[in-house]
Amino acid sequence: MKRTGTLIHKTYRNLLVSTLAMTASMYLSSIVDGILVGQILGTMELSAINLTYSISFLKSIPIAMFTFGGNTLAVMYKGKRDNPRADIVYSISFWAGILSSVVIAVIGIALTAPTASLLGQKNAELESLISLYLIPLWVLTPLTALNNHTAAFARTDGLKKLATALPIVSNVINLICDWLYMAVFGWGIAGAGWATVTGYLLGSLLVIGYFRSKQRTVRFTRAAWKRLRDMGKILSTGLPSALIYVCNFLRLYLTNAIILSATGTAGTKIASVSFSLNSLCFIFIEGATMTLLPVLGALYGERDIRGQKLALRYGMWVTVGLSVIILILSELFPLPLAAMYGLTDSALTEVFAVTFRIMSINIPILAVIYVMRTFFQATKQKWLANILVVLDGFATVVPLMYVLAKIDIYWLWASFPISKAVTVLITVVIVVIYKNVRHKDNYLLIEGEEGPVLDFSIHNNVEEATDAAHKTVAFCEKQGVEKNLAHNIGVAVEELCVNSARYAAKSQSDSIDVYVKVSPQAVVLRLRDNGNIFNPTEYVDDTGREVTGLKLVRSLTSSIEYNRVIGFNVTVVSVNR
Amino acid sequence: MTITKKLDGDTLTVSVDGWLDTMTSPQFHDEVQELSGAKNVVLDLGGVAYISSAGLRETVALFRRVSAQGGSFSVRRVAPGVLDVFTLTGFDRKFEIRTD
Repeated sequence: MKRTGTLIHKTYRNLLVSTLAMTASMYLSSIVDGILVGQILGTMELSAINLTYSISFLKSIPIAMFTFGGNTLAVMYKGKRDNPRADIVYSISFWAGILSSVVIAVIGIALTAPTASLLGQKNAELESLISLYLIPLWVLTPLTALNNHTAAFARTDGLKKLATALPIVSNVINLICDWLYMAVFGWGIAGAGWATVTGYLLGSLLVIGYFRSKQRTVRFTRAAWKRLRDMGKILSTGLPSALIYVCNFLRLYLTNAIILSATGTAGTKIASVSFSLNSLCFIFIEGATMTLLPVLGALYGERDIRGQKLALRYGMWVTVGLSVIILILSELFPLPLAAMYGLTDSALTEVFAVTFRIMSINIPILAVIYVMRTFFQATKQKWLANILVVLDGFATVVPLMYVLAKIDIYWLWASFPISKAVTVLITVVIVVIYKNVRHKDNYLLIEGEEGPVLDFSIHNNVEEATDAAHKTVAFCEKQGVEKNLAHNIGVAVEELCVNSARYAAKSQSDSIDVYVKVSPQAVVLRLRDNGNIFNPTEYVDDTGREVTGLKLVRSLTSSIEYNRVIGFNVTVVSVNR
Repeated sequence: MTITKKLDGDTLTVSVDGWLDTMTSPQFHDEVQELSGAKNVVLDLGGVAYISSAGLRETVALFRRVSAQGGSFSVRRVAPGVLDVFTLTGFDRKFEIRTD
């Protein structure tokens, strides 16, 4: 009996589907948006929209901060079974996210003309197209805040259908309106922007479904007003996610400026198609890492060190695997991909085929960087997560591009994979130095177990429940735990596993993670399964039996606590020594 | 788990060796169905280091059957952990439990 990752892997895969659906709908809509704009309006309009992507990242900063910061922190509190605090974090992050996005939208609209001038680099045609697109882009901000925050919490509450439907509905309506507004009504580039607003507005009606759901585990609470200082924690937890958007904003603004000045409008057209296609990899990389964040957050909250390592390993395999598929597709089919955007000019496509292939080499390295950033973020090593974000998003690529652009257009695009490799190299050096200076146990820089621990997994069935009890008693006795206490912990393992197998298990392939920790003060047992909701502290026995397993567990142990987090039933039992 | 039964007059001594848990309690249940005409039962748990609710239920069921026929029921040579189970659930007040 060894600890397996079955339970974590299964939960990760369950969450992955809905997260990928969300990122796919986000990025695919932007990709298809780009294709529609390129085909209906032309590559100049596509270039104008590409130049506004830096603004999209700018307005995403507060949204990301409150959505990911609030969601990760709330899941951590739920992992610690502090549900009132999770409600406070949910309430603050929701209202602060909406309010800040309204403020940023108002300021953005007021500054439309100077923004367009800054982005257009004194190209009058581009400036005029950009200002038409900017107003709906800013109006969209509060709606994005509402939808993203709700989708994130719905996902970690196990409301996968709702979490998946929210972005899909918004983006499908967006694409329909794109065609309607641009091709039928002839609204031009502004039509592309208003189509997105319409999609998100109608999509936001699904938010009501979340508010009315009985499965919602977080609630609005007035207690949030008295704990506004939690805002600091939300912001610092969400900072690495938000920092991505800060760096993306700076990177896109500066790289677009370098590309425009070094290669002219022809280079900008190549860039707009390259960036749009490159966002295909973000569907998978961002989706896979966004899935990993709440899983790692919950495991960190429970101080499940082995679980964190298992989740990291699995998340890395999945993310890198998906990124390699995208790399292969990008290397094999650059020209058909460019043709989708209306980029068919042979002089341009000849260059594009080479630059796009060079740029695409960065995809698997980007996957590694994103997974490690997520890991450091979830395990509260924010400084390291922030270093990764700044290095990857801005500090390596911009100076490299500035220097390499002086050689030729091919070296300019090589700055992407080179900068990713440099980012990984610098991070490895920092980690090695930190590990040696601080005498850390491992290169992940996480704490090791304190005291003897038994950590294993069983199948969620009655047969293995008694085997688990045998193993637990033997372990406790080996650690010098008093015989009667070792016995009682063993009984708790058997009874809780048997109950899980009888009442919570969905199938025979389900498993239970068993964790026993011995300290001088107490023996602590933690059981985790991913079955139906089963709360042993609230379960009312109606079998009519005088002796039931749960009654016995309550009699033999000092405390029993239950928590439902990201689809896990987590029961923690302690026996004082 | 091994169960041996020894009849001495109208007293049946049932000796259990092994764990009395969810998996083994059905075997215990079957073995004690036949009391060989005994009126009293002594349950010797000297070889039992572990008992869970399933084992406890079978023990209590046996006690009730013996009580119903007017006999006496006692549990002997109880290990510390097993004793906890009897005392914390209050069954030490219903039938005699001895550690020797």
